This record gives sequence, C-alpha cells and structure tokens, in this order.
Amino acid sequence: MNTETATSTGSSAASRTRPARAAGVPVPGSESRFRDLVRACVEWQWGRFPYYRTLCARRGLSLSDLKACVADGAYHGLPSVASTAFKLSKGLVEDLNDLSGPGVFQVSSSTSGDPSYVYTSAEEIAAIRARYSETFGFPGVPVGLAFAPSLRILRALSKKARYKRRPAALRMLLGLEGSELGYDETHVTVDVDIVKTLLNRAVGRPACLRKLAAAEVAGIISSAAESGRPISLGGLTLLLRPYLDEFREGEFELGDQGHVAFSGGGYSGAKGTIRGARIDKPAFIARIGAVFGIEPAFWSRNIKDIYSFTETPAQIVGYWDRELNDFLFRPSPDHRVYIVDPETEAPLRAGRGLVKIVAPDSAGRPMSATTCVLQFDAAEILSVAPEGHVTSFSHVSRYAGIEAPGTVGCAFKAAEIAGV
Amino acid sequence: MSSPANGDARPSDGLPVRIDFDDPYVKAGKTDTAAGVEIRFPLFEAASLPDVLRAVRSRAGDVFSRLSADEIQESMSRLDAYFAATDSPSIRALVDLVHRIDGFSKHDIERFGLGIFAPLVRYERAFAGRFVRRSFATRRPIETAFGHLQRFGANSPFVRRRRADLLCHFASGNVAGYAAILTRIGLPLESGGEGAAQVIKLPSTSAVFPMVYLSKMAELAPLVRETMACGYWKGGDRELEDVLLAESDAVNVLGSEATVRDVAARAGALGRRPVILGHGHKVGAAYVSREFTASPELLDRVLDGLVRDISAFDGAACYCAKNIYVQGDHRSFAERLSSALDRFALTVSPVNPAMKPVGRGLARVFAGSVKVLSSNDAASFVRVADKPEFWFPDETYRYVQVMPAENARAVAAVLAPARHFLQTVVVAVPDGEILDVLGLFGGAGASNIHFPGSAPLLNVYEEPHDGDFDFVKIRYPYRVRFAATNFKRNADWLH
Repeated sequence: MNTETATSTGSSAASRTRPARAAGVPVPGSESRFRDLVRACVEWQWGRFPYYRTLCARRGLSLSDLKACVADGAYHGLPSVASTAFKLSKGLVEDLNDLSGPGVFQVSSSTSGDPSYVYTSAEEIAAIRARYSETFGFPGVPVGLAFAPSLRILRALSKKARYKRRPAALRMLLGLEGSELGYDETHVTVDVDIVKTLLNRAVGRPACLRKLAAAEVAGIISSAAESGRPISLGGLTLLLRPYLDEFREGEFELGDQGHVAFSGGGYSGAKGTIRGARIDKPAFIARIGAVFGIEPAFWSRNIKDIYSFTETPAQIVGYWDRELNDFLFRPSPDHRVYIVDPETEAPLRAGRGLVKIVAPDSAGRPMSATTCVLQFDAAEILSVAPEGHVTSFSHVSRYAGIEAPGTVGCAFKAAEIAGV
Repeated sequence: MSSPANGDARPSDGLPVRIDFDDPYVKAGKTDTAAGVEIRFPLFEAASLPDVLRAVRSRAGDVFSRLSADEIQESMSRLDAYFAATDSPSIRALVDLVHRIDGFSKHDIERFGLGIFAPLVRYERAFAGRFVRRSFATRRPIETAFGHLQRFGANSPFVRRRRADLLCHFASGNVAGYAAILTRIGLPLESGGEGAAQVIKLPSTSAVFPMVYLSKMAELAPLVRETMACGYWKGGDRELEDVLLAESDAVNVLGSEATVRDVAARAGALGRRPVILGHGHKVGAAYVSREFTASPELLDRVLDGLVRDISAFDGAACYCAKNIYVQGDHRSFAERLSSALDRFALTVSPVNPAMKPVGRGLARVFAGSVKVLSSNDAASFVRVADKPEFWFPDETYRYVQVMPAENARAVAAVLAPARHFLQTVVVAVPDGEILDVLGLFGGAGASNIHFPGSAPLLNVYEEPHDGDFDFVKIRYPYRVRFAATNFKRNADWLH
C-alpha cells in the first residue's frame, strides 16, 4: 500500500461523513474490553518483538507475569519502551516494528531532526485519524481554520519520508486529515505557491510556500462570524502566534462561537523545522482571548490542547483551566496514563513525573512495540484512580533530565548531522 | 584571575568562595555560581567593543614590535612548563577546581587537558613551523619530531599572503586545555613572523580553564597576555558579533555545524571576508589490525588505549573514537571493549554527573536490544554491527560502534564519504603499515593518525587541526590539507 492509498482511506471516501467512533476504540467504561485489548497486544508484542522480550527478561518478567499485570488491571507493571527508541538514529526501527505485513510508517514531525518511525496497520491509521476528528472537533462547529501546512505539503513530506520501501505518513498529516473529517469547511494557513514552485523547480530550486496574509485569515474568521457559524482555530501554536502579533486586541468578537484546538506542542519554540520564541502559555491564551474576543468564561470549554505523540495511538484532550493557568488533561477510556518516577518508573500518586501511556492497538495486533510507552515529558498529577492510573494531569513540559545541559563545541547532534 | 585565594576557602572542600577573573581590556563582568563557587567573568558589551578592539590591537602592535618571536616563545615555554608540572600543588588545585566546576573527570583534565603541555615543553623550538613549510613542497610524507606529516591536494598558485592583525576565537567548552592551542594561533612562531591581536569568546561562564590559563599567562608572559582580550558574550549577539567579525582578519570557530556555518556566512557578508577557520563536528574512528587482535598482550594494550580515547571528556570531544573497525572477531572485541570501558569508568575516570542523563536515556532506549552492550550503571555503550559503515552517533557520550574490517584500504573507503566529519583515527597496525595508513586515512579526509590512548594529545607544531595549520592559514589561506601521525613506530607507545 502506498501513502496515498493509506491516507485516502479516511480522507476522501469518508470526508463528508463524520465517524461516530473509530473502529476498535472501546466504549467508554468498557474495562473488560480494554483489558482484553491490552492482553492481546501484549501477547502479540511478546511474540513479535525479541526487543520486548529482552526488555522484560532484563527486569525478570515473563509473559505470564505480564498477563498477570493485565488481569489485575495493574498496567503500570508492563515494561515500557522509551519513545526515543523509535528515533531513526537509534537504529532500532526493525527491532521495534514488525515489517512482515502491509502497513504505513507513522513519522514524527522531527523537531530534533531525528524523526520517529512507527509502523502501523491501515486499520490503526484509520482509527487514529478518526480519533483526531473527535479530539480536534467541537460539537456543532462547522468551520475549521488550521494554522498548519496543507494536506498537499504534508502528503509530499510523507512521500519523502518513505523508509525501507514502506510508505510513510506524518502523524501531523493524520491529525489534519482527521480534523478535516470533523468540519464542513476547513482552511489552512500554509500551502504551496504552485506557480512559483513550478518556476523554482525549473531552475532546480525548492518549492515555494505561501502563508495566508493576516487579512486573509481575518476574512475567513469574519465571514464565519458574520454568517453566524461557529469557528475553530487550531493547529500549531507556532504558526498561530505571528498572526496574533498582527491583530489588535478586540479585532474579533467571537464570544462562545470561537473555539481553539492546538496539538503538537511547540510551546518550547520548536516544532519540526519551525522555530520561534518560547511560548508563555497563560499569556498566549490571554492574547488569543483578547484578539478573538473569546471571554475567559468560555476558555474552559472552548480552548483545548491535544496531547499526543507518534509513538502512541492515545490522544488526550485538555481544556484550559484558569485556576491551573494551564490545560487540564483527562485521559480517555481507550488508554491509561501513569505519571512515573523518572528514575524507577514506579507510578506516582502525586507530584511530577514522566508520562507513561498504555494504549492498545485498536485491533489487538500492534505492528510496533507501542502498547506501553514511556515519553520524556514531565507532567503534574491532579487526580489518580484507585488502580493507580492518572485521571487528570497538567503542566506538561519536556523533561529536562534527558539530555546533558549545554553540550557545545565539537559535540554533535543528530539534527545537525541530518542537516548536512 | 586575581587568584582563587581572593575569596575565603570553604572548609568543607577547600574551594574558594569566590573567584574574580580579570581581563586587561574587558571591564564589565558577569557573576555566575558553579559548584557553590561565585565566579566573576569578564563580559564583552557591544557599546565598549570598539574601544576594546582599538586598545588590544594597539597594544598588540607595541608588544610584537618590542618582543622577538624567540622571546615570545620563551615566555610561552615558561607557561607551558607551569601547566606541565602536574604534580605541583597549584596544578593539583587547578585540576580539582576544573573538575568541581566543569564536571570533567580529574583523569581527563590531567592526562588530556594538561597532557598537551609536556610535549610542548620538550619540543625543540627550532622545529616549530619547519615541517609545515617543508610539507608544502612535497606530497610525500616527511618525518617530523614525533611522526610524519603529509600534504594532500594541490595548492592554488593564486593564494597570496595577507596581514592578520586581529584574530577572534569562538571557543568551545567541551574539553579542558585547548586554550593553550587556541592562543598560539595568533603568536609569531619564527623570527620575522607577525603576531595578531586576539579576541577570545568564552564558551560559557563556567569554563574556568581558559581564564585560569590567561591569568597565569599574565604572571609568566605578561606582555603576551596583553595582546589578548578574553571574556564572555552570548553567542549570536549580532550587535556585538557583527562589529567583531567586520574588524577581524581571521575568525576561528569551534562549535556546532550550525554555528560554524552561521558565523562564516555572516563574516562573508560583511565585505572584508576574513579567513575562516571552521572547526565543526567531528566523528573519530579507530582501526585495529589483525596483528593487534590476535595477540592477547597487544590486544590488552589496544583496549587500554582505546578506552581512554573513547571516554575522554565523556566522548564529547572531536577526537573521541566512535567508529571502531576491527580485523578479526569484532564481536569478541566489542565485548572486551565494553568490559574495559566499564572498568575504566569505575576505577579511573567516572562519568561527568552532568552527562549522566544521556547515559540513562541511552540505557532506556537500548534496554531491549541485544546489539548494544552496556554497563549496569550506563557508563558506556558499545554497538555491534556486522557490516562496516560510517556511523553517526546520535548522542555525545562514551558510545561507540564496533564493526568488522577487511583491511585498512576498505576502512578508508568507508570513511571517505564522511570526510567532512573526519579528524582523528586511532590506529593499531604493524610498523610497516603506519605510513600506508597515513596515506590511506589522510587521503580519506582524516587529519590526525594517533596510536591508541593518545587521541586527545595534539601537537600543534607538527599536527594539523582538522587538516589545517591554523597559525599558517590565518596569513596564508592555502587550499591544501594535511594529515600527520603522532608516532613513528609502535615501540613509541608499546614500551
């Protein structure tokens, strides 16, 4: 299957139909269904990935131990694969992905210059995309304005990301495709300038991109407002921010008709090849509220962030919380989140720690060892279920303890090597 | 530095409470705290930079007209001798200070940071510059004091000599000791040679070695010290750097590829186009021939040396071996190397605490991999590959890849496509092949062919840095490249 086929599975045929729920995603509250899926995935993963067996063996765990963890609902006992292990530079792509069947590599945005490659079945790709249509959407909102590269750009980048003769799809592409499913009308702010690109190509130069002018963005928002149609502004924080600087406070008066849905982080000032200044979240949200006329009273239901990453199918929605001055994330029934001690990986019941996610493949047959993943993001626990998984968390940031501070000089970074 | 004694010593560890580093030209300062010690560094400011440049150039002109090259080299020899005396209490205290503040292991500071001084002290002064001059005239290897030097490529007849009155350095902080090599680039080597005023950018406000070195220079070579201005500014400060780059005749940049490219581009756009000495990322290599893997005794010596070359400054130096090509049983070699690296970290050179997160991260990544050997405490990682390739390490650490090698020629063929990243190749080959590997690896793009255990020990007078003799190139921007060995026969290190 090529990328185009894979990505069109949901985007073209189903583009006018909003899926109610992705196939295989457990019905909320269906603990037994979740447990069955995790068990199936763990067994599958054990059978397919010697890497995972070795990882477990080094912790003295056998398959029956893992099954016991699942049976007890003690999913935190499952050894996790570090999300960074999927990065191309680690050389473990074939250890962590089962390339024996048809599938598509999901590829991260490569902020570090070193993308992750996660092999995924077409069914799971469809499930992830469908889930994005839910997480990005707001009920009753027909217009989406994505501060993001167009599908054309993301598909071209996905095509370039082919690896081991397998097709690839940027995770961001799945997000945008899923998002489009949820809206009647979607606009993007960055696209290819076709005429200039053709001219450039004739002389061997790269493609020319075109960003919507602030006036054009204003036109889309005003048009939706004037026709009484609610609008959702979303996508990448780093692409939205320059527009915020161009608009004045009170430029729009969207009120409760205005919605915002971010994804992909970028608060550190970097996302993919996009670079900008670090984003102060409270000031950023306040500016959004002031520019688009979304009163603070609406922020807790109209402004949200989607926490997700390529190495897990889980997507966790968080709405802005004025008391926390940050997003308040609430995991869904189709995954479990644990905040764990950075050293021991023991689940914490309070405080800050690393994010560990147990998220089964929707069909119970993962093509990558992603059932239980440790992500090097730190988060603060707000509430925990009696079983130990986190029911709400906030203040997500990159975990500082993963790299040496200030490595300079002749030291090398994969990002730079990749760029040479 | 006024001296570490300018603050009270702490009873707990004897470290000073506060250190003030001074510069004769840079009067503003910035105070940071590292390892509980308050350190005040000179801080360059854009507003005063033109005055600083004017003053240091003027004073350097006076000094170089008053002192002969011999007198300058004589005073520098006194300075070298001070730092070469590693048993002296003051040097022991310095090693301790750098260790506490920068985190480098004492072994690395002493053996590799300060290890460059003893050969300089012993070096016959008349040899300085002689071999480079001779090497321009022939493509054949020429014998140097410690090894051989060979030129690669043809020089352009259009290259002309030029004046270099001002040389600026963007120093890096990944190793200790390099300040000694850096500052020599601007000094006249031979009678009639010209000197350049030098401006040195500190890599950070915790890089104590360069300032200690310059403080001692102020005592032992005071006039030479006055030809240099040193301090910190935040890299990328356009207001300051554009003035500096516009004024400089030569720019020496040690840093990331992005930094080298950025500085070179900005300097090139300023019209006067200074000579750029770019020292970006490098990935070291090692080649161990069958003769050294087949003999248990020789193998032990090779491993003993290699663990030092791999572990030096936690693998963060440009010369650290990363790609290890082995004739013979490479898997068995990898296992022995992994064990040796563990022992070395445990008993000789512990991992810098600041680098431990990298080790922990790698340990998590490779927790399920049978292709990567690692120690229990994540002090080192040895990847095993069954085909030779040029591997780009994804992390800066005591982290290498061991691969089989057919022979030196085949290894050179693997290295050549990555010539941009080549610098040091550690070799263990029979005596009769040393000159051959100089030709092969030098031709592939490497510049320093060293015996095991000596990767960090660069002799600036007869070995190039990244293929260049910077002290020549700032005034004669030639187009050739050089490579050198630091030994003539194995008895030089197997004694």
